[in-house]
Amino acid sequence: MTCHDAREFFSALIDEALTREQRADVYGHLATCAECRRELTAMERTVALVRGATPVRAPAGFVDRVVAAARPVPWYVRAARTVLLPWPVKLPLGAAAVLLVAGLAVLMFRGSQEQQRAARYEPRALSDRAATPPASVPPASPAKPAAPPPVSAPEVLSRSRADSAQEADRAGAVASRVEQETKQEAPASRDVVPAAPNAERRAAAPEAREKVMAKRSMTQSAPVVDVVARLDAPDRETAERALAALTARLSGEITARHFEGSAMAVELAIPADRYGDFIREAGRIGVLRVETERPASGNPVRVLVHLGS
Amino acid sequence: MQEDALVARLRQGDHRAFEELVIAYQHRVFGVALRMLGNRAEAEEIAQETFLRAHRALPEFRGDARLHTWLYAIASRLCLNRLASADRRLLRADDEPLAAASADEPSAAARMERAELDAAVREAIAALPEERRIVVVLRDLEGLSYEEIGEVLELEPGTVRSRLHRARLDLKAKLERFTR
Repeated sequence: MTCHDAREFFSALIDEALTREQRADVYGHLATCAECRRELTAMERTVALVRGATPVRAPAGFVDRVVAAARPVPWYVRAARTVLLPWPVKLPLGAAAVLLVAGLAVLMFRGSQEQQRAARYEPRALSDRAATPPASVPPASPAKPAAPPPVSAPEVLSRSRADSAQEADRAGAVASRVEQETKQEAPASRDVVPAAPNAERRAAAPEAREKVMAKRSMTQSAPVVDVVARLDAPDRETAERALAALTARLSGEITARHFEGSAMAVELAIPADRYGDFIREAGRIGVLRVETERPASGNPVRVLVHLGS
Repeated sequence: MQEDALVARLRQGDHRAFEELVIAYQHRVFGVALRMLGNRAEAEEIAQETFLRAHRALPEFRGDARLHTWLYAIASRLCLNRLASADRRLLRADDEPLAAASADEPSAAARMERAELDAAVREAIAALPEERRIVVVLRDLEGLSYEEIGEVLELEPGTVRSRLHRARLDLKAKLERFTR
């Protein structure tokens, strides 16, 4: 056995992990090699130093901390840990929640009936007035501004009514034509039946067109109607009174009344379940002709009746 | 301690038995962690994690291994994993001696000599490669046999013997001034 071979066994010799034959071979070599004996002694002292090192002790309170950490976690603590997620998880969830709420708010706003009505009426009343005269119509007179400054909806309504009354008195020659045009265009303004503009007549009577526009803004600023009808009776006033009495009897109400040239237009709100009675009874007052009727009417049914004779 | 009886109680979920287990093995598990990692706070963390993992796995503990070798296996694996983690490179080892000199030392000079020797041994062990260090710790400081070390580290006994021999040669070279 060489010195190298013997020294390879020194560690196992110290641990008494050699077989009897290996141990005999090593001791045989050591008996003849002083250098290897010194080497073995140094190895034995090294091992003794390491084994003699001061034992390590766990810090005070270690057992209590371990035992406490091993106890089952109560359900409410687990729930709290679930709720209190770390930021990398919480932040995207929060952002998604904000977007969801914002989306719902937009949907609710657009779906609100009041908001829809507001969006429908006010811009039209303003835009009709502001767009006078329309692009397809030549300017009526140089004195009339093409685009008046913006005004509020009530102001537009009052101005329209005043213009309407004045023009009705003044422009007697064109009144009948205005009436016809109003009848044709009023339904269009209520989104019931689209009416094609009569460019020829507008070109021939620009004043009449102005009047029509004013009247249309008036009718548009009123609530949307479900039914447009014409009631021809021998005496218009008698017919109007009878119509008012009929409306009251059917638990309805007159919501607006205005002149359209020589004719009278009355807007009524009739309970939906009494609408059939209204049509039948109104037919007895005079010749009733329903011009337009919205398929799905609300409650009450809003009826615009043009009284004529 | 009757290990079999303790294991039986542990498997039944006896919390008091777990406390007894921690009391019985706390110093050994902590010692392995401290010798391997060289940092007391980190060693306590690893030691605590060792017992908590054992606690969770106790219902499945079949008793194929001895309880103490099972604990050493968990602790050794946690230590080696921690040493292999990249974020540990910045951690600094404790400078103070691992433990104060024992009270039965005859004099202050002897206590200082003891502390110096402990520090030298600690530094020599800490300088060993990790796979040799764990073998020396388990053999010379914890007293496990070659077979038990092989079981703990999942190594063949010949590999254990070879690594231990290389480790002791390194230690002999570093501690030469104390062995002459």
